[in-house]
Amino acid sequence: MAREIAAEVEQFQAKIAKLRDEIGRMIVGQREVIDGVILCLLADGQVLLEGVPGLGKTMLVRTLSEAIACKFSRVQFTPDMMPSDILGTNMIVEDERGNKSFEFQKGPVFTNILLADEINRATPKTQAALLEAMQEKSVTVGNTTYKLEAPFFVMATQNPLEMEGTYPLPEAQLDRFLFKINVPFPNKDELHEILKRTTAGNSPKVSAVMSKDEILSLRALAAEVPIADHVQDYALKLVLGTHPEIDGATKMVKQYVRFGSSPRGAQAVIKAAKIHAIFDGRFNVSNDDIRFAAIPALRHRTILNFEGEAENISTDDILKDLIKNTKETAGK
Amino acid sequence: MRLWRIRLAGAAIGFADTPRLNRLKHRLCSTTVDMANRWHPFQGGEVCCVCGQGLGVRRVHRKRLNVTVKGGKPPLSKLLLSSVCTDFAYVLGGWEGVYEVAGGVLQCEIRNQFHKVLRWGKSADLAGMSMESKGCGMMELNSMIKQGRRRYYVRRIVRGIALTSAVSLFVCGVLVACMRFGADVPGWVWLLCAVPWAGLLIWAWPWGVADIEIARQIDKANDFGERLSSSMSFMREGAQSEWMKVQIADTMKRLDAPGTADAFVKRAFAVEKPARVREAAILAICAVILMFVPSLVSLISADGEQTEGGAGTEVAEVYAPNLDEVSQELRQHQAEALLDAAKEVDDPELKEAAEELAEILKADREGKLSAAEFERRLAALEKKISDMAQQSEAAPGMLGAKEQKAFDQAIREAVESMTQMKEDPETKELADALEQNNYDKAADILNDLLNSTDPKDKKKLEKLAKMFGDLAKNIDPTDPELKEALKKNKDLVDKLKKEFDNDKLSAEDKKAFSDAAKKLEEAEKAQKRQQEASDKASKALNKLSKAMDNTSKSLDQKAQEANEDAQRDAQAGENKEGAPKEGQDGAQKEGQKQEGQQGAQKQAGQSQDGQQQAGQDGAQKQAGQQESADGQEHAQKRDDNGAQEGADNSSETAEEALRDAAAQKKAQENRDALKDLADKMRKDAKSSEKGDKKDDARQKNMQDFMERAKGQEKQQDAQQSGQQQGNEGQTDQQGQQGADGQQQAQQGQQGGDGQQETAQGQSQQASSGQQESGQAQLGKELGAQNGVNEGELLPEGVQDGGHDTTLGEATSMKVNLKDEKLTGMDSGSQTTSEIIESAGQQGFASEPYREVYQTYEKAAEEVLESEEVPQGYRNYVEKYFDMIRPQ
Repeated sequence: MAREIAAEVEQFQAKIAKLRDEIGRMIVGQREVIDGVILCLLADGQVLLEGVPGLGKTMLVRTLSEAIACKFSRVQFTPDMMPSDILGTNMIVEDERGNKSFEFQKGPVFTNILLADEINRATPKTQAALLEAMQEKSVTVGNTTYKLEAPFFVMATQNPLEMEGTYPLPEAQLDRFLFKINVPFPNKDELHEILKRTTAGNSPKVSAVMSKDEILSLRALAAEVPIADHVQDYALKLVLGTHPEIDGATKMVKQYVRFGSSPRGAQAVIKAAKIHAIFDGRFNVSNDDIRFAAIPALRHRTILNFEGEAENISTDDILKDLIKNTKETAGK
Repeated sequence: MRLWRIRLAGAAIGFADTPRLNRLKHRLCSTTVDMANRWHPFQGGEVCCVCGQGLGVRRVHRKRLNVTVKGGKPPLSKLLLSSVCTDFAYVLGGWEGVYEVAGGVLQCEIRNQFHKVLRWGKSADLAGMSMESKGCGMMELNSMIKQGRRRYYVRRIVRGIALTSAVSLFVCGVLVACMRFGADVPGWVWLLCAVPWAGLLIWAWPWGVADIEIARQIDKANDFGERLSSSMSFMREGAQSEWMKVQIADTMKRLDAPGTADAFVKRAFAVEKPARVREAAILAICAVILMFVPSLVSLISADGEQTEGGAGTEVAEVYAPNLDEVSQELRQHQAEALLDAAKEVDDPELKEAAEELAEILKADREGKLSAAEFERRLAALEKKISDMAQQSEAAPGMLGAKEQKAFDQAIREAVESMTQMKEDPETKELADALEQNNYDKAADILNDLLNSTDPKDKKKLEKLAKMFGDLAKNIDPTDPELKEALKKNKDLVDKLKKEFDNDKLSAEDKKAFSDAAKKLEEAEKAQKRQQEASDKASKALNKLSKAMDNTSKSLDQKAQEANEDAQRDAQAGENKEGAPKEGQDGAQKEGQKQEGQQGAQKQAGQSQDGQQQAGQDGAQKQAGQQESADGQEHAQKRDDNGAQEGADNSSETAEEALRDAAAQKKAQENRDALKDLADKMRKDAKSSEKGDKKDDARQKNMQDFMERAKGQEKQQDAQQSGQQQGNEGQTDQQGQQGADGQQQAQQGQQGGDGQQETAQGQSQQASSGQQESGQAQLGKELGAQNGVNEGELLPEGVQDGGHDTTLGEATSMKVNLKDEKLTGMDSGSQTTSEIIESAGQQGFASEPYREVYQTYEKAAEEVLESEEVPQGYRNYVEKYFDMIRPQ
């Protein structure tokens, strides 16, 4: 058994590397974004990508779906979109005999990978339709609850610039996302490579390198990664440090933060840290894993106050300051 | 034996991994432990690596075990095994190899120089197994952590060593400085130097630092990804999951390479540079300064001889000043004032004493004097001053200064008289006889001289009378000054003799005393002889003087009779013709001439009498005003002489006598002041020694007072300078008056009594003026002292708070107050501020708030539209109103 774990971990690393390479055939650069997305996929979480249009967010999601051979759906959110447009609806169906009955027509949410493009353009009502799907992995229409097929992975995008006519996601919905990943603008070399790949006649094609079952097995393996008490304590320190009312909160947190992270944020940090440990070929979670996971897992769970908003303070700055000023827990 | 079989059976099944077997193994472990406890005492601690449950106490159990060697190795009849579980054991001896043990196999591997790890089980199971895969690495990890803990301790010691050394050195420096300043430092106090080291050893010990923390630091330093600390944590938890065992095995595998563990530990706990080196350096420099700089200061300030002494130069010790700063300054001023006064008096001994006092102060200020030395020198100076004062009253074995002076003057005058007598051939024989102390002969010669002298030679007779009168006076044995001197001498000798009898004197003093007594005895004898001879001579001279007076009177009578005869002859000649008229005229002329001569003589005699009277009166007046009786006597004597010699001489002598008397008095006062100053210095030194705690407060007070006194001194200086100028002006006036007086005295020499008095009076005023100025100076110093001690003066600009009524009287508070109760009226609606406040507390859903919000938002929008507000601020305002929008 012991030797199997070591082998599984090695296989895990190999598969992730392969998946990363496959995605990298389509997506130039954006290594952190790709890793973040894969990590969320393996951690059984959802991811919110935020970035200006044209950075390849949709392309990344589509490539990922192709690389893992899963069903993929894309929903472009608009203000007039209704929940039924996503979840599905009961329709009257007439059979050959002429009998009419209601039949549930599944919406795009019934897939393995769902791309919710510009999710903040939909009304809160429609956004809320995704809540149950994202958390419970199920959809309830009428009196019937439909289980979503595993793996179910939601990738939502939003544009930070065009805020007119948008409906910012409520905190409750933001908390459903494991990570919020900011998609950065590619550098010059990456842009060169993007132009070469996309403006030539033959664009590369992605092949599936991982099956759904493999993903599920990797998820199970990652969940077992042990974490020492002092490392877990460090993670909790960071999560609790986002709360301004806590005594140990940093000055920035006290000044600019209105609400801190929920316990779900701590779960997200630990989950992500475990997978990151396996990425590094370790059998235990380290403090570095916690630090890596802390920023994307807590940035959308830390709500700024008016002063923070007015001063245009980013949660990333606050979290970096928090990490810098939080001492690692001494072993006991 | 049964237990052994059970144990080995457990070992054989130890590789299976079921909870039931784990429980069984743990029971076996406990059984083994129990058995081993009977044999060997516990030595260390461990938990069961298989079942993961702690055994309560860390321990290593040893067991004697018979094994047979397989594979031709020498048999190990007795192996010491240490075991805490059934899976592995440590051996403190033996060889590497595989051993068969009662149906099982022991595999022994050399893990390091001292320990060997044994596993037992079936040979098939052992094939391909490594210890890491069994999850057994606690001992290695513990060993690593212990090494890390030791190095952690050493690192902390090194980190704190600089500051500790400096603190220790500083404590030493303080103690050394205390010793140098004369403090008595007990031996146990030196143990304080070791206190910082003890503190370092206690501080550096890793109190409360857990093993996992040590492991975490090793991880951090080696970028080990919390592998080691997690392994430790998992082991403590019992390594319940496979992942944990895998993790531990992975950690052990990474540490398995030779030297890796040591390298990790060394890197994690590398000895760093001592911390706080700068502070330590500053502290060390302070310590060195404390220890050595006082010596260097004294070395630099030492004279050239010491500096040029080369290698043999000894570093002089430096002491703390015995007087505090303020006292030193004060005493220095006083010593300088005394020195000036001594110079003014022109008393060399007093001047020397004052200089010595100043020198003692200087040496004390420079730290050259220890407390004992300071005390000794002050005592010596005080004794010296006392001796001087005593000498001034009665010098042992000789006359006092003023008596000596008077005596010398008398002798001088006698010699002068004798010289005059010798020069005159008629009195030469008399002078020789007197010189040979042959007074009988002198008396005979005098009688002859009286008989042979022409009674008509009046001038000669008067001259002789005066000469002998002076001589008789000068050698008057009944002179009270001489008697007084002899009496004092005798008292002193008697006093000394008492001490001699009480055996209080040293050998040298006794010898000196006996010599002095002999000299005194001889002096007394000589004085007696002289007195006897003087008595005789005096009688003869008195007789001679009386005879001469009689002679002079008879001569006068004869001359008068001769004149009358001549007149009568002239009248007789007139009665005759011619010739007799001329004769009469001539006789008349002669008679007139003689009358004129007599008148002139009478006039001169009256003038002399008047001058004598004036001199005597003036001298008596002066003497009456003088406080010193000696000076008075001296002045009287001088005045007597001056009266005989003339008014000028009398005036000058009187002034001189007054000056002498004033100078002597002043010298005596200075001596007293000097003595008091030395006494005060000694008291200051003692109080500064005693009042360690009070020193600061006292010094502060003194400094405060000094500053205030300085302020006063400045004022006083100004006043004094004014006074001085005034005094000088007065002195000048008096000097002028004195000069005028002299002129008047010269005029009075021609016959003015009152003028002479004026002159003397003014000269006395002049000298008393000097005295007053001297007293004023002392008064100034005393005033300064009083100002320092009492501190009654207020600093500049501070007035004692009088009641200033410049602006009129203060408003009186006595008014009739009337309380009125006002009842508020409810307006029936909330104010804007109340609405906003309630909205902040209860939410933005009320209707009044909506109205207020609309009003405010409208105003804000108007401002945003009408004014050039930057876009960033517009956004802030918009966001703000969005956030407070009514719901």
